[in-house]
Amino acid sequence: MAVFLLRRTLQAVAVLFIVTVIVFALLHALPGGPARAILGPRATPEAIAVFNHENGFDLPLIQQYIRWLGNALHGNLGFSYKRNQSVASLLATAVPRTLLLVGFGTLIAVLLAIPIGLAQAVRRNKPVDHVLTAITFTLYSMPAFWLGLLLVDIFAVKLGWLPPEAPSGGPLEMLAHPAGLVLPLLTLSLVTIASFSRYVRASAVEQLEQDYVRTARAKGLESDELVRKHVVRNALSPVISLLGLSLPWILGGSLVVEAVFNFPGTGFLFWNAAQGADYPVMLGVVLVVTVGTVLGSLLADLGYAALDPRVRDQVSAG
Amino acid sequence: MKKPQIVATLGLAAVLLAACSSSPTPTPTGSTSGSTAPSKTSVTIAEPANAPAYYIFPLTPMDNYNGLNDAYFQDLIYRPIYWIGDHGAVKVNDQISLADAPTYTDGGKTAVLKLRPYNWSDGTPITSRDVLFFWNLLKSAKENWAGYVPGEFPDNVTNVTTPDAQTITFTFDKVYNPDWILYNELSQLSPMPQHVWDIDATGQKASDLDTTPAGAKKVYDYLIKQANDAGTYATNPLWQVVSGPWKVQSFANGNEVTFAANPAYSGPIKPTLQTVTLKPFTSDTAEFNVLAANGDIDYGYIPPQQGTQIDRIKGLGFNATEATTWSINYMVPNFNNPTVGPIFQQLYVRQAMAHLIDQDGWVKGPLSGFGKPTFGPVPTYPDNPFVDANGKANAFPYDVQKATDLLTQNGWTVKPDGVSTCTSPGTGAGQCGAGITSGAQLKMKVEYASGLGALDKAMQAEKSAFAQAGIELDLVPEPLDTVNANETKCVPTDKSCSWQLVQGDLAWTFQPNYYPEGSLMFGKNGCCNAGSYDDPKADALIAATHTSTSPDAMVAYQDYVQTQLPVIWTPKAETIVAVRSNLSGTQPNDPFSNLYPEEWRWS
Repeated sequence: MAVFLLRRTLQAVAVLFIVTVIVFALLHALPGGPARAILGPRATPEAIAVFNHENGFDLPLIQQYIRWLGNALHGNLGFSYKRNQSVASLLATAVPRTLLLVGFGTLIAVLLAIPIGLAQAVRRNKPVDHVLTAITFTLYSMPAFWLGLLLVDIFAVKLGWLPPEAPSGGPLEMLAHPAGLVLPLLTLSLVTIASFSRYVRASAVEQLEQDYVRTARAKGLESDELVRKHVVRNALSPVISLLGLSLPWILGGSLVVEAVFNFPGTGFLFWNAAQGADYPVMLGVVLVVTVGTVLGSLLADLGYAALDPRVRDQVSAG
Repeated sequence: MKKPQIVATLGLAAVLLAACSSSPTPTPTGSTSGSTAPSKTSVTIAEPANAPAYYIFPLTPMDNYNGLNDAYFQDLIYRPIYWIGDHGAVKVNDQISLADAPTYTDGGKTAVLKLRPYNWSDGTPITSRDVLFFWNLLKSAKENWAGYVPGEFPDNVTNVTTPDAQTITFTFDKVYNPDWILYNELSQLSPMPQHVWDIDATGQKASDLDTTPAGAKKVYDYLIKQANDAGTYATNPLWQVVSGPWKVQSFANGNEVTFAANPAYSGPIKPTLQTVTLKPFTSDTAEFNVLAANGDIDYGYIPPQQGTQIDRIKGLGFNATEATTWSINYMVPNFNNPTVGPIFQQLYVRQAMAHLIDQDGWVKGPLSGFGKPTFGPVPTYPDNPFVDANGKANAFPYDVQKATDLLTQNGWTVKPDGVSTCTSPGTGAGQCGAGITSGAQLKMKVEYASGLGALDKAMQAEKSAFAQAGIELDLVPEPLDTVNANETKCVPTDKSCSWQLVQGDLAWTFQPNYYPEGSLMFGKNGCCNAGSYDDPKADALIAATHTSTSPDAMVAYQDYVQTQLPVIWTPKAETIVAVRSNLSGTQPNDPFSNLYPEEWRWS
């Protein structure tokens, strides 16, 4: 297991490195560059040259990257021109909020998706399955942006039951005002539930057709007990992998949700940075999200290994 | 119901219950949603999307300058000597300016400024020393200053004196137009608390470090470093000594800013509100959602694409009014583009193009009525003392026939809904003009900012109007940053000279250089003359607006440039301000977007 962990960690570091190189290159390939975006249309070519020199943007790209990477390894992710604060301090404020959103959003999605998926699998091709399939497909095909606006229009504007925006402040202050969290969480959860429940259903259907299920049934095991004791555990193994791999998708969704609900997290930060060509912030957010994704994938692998003895055996053998 | 379902259902129910049991008030800032509480002493202002307040130091470097940051943040804390903008009018606001109107001696070369008895928030009087402190720091780092234009402030000042605590004099290298001096130079002076800020390290006692160039630079660098830590704006003692009616109380939450009233404010109008909160927004949509749900905004705006929703917002207890900015809008032709540059060089082509801009249709249609036309280099709206009679009328009203005539009379065979071609090349009368070859086509690429519904609709309408005169517009919507990046001054051989015609989304706002002369946009060496317009007569007329004491100079300049069309005038989109109807004192809207919450009262 230790070897497996070490191997996966080294792979994660390599992935992280490659992603930062690609993102760094892509961001700097964008037309315009930060100087014009920051200094504005009144900037003279001389002022632009001074700005580029002071910020190292006149160096070859590789040198810029090495400089950025060296600083990043020392915890210095640069300085935001638009926010006038260090990127690290901006991330330190925004990341916990996004973790709150993504954490609760995913938790709610998983808590609802598992019973929905299982119920569909157990009642396959029956009216309940068809209705839930229709609902989940509808949600699955909805862009988070549109769903968010729809929920705002119904629950905030027309009914006036819930606020149209997330509370401001840190995670604890946000939790103290849960009303403002409902619509962002609901938006993020609904699109995620749809995807997760489809996977749970497919996985559970596959398990229900296995020989061990037939054998257990033949031995007289009650259906509920069979599902709870045998099917759930086996059906959830692929869902754990899915959870890890879905992290970028969920974070992407959170960016949209944060923009719609004025939620001051990393998505909000990235959205503003992208519009203002605030490269250090964009790179900082990408780095954090990449680390999160790689860690998520790593944890998913470990969780998969913990749940599935065959994977454990393979790991021990290999 | 099965156990997992019960757990999940209970989980969601708990969240919903907690949500519904708490107040719908979304923020913990203390500001309450709605407006009926008679004891309300706070106001929440929606900041324009993606334009959060972020910089406090009044000697703002170019990379930190943003007009909205000035209007929504800095000017509430630090007051300039001369405040431009007076209840919706473009003029000096005498009531809240820190000095009497300047007087001139020495044949007009020396401006004498008499400060009024104002105090800093710690009770220390604001004196000429504080202005001199600003000046010394400005001189030490002029290239870094947002308002710096080579040859102007501070380059054109030969001597500064402080004869007494209330008087400061500026002697210029020659006699200038006093209006130009006032609007473009003296208005940029902002006293800074020398008795607190004249230090180059934390914990020092203020001295006269700024009196030597090296010392001034050290002080400047120190203050810039302090200002580059926005997280400390509410706690750093430097920023607690202010001249304005407001002090920063908190600066957090994704740059949500709360101001507290400055109890020692010595100006004529004292705040009655206790706090003012600036709320940042990710997007216009997010802001409008909060407004439409009657959420936590007391002073906000209705995005142009939601212009049809005004009545609905009014129904929620808001007043909605248009804010007309001190700006002009235009399409920039690239006179140096190797393909279409020679075509743009022909005045009759530019006039034909101007006749094809349906300004009324643009305002009424895509802008839903919330816009103003641009007729020339001086804004017609809002009312101002600078625009002349000609500038109040469109010299090139929408007229496809006139545009067609101009082209046919100058050697072009016009093909409506096709592409017109030059069939009579040459430089004589009735010929296409210099640099235009036989068979040259009236076909041009227009880059414009994407993602803006109103602008997109307007450009589609223009494409159709131009087509009627046989001019084919190839519309290229691009992200704003790309448009700005491409729109650079170039020579025909430059690779970067491939852009032909650009329509950005932002009008040119005369700020912080308030005087409406065009040296920056239309002068040969102007920083922002992206199209490389080069007309010695225009340059001479612009220069005269700086130096002539006669109002005729401004008239001559604007009349000439209006009809010479260094750019193609287009309408400007205006903001629709939405304010709770029981919040008085907010109107009229300021042409520079300045806020005056010290004048606001809840009723």
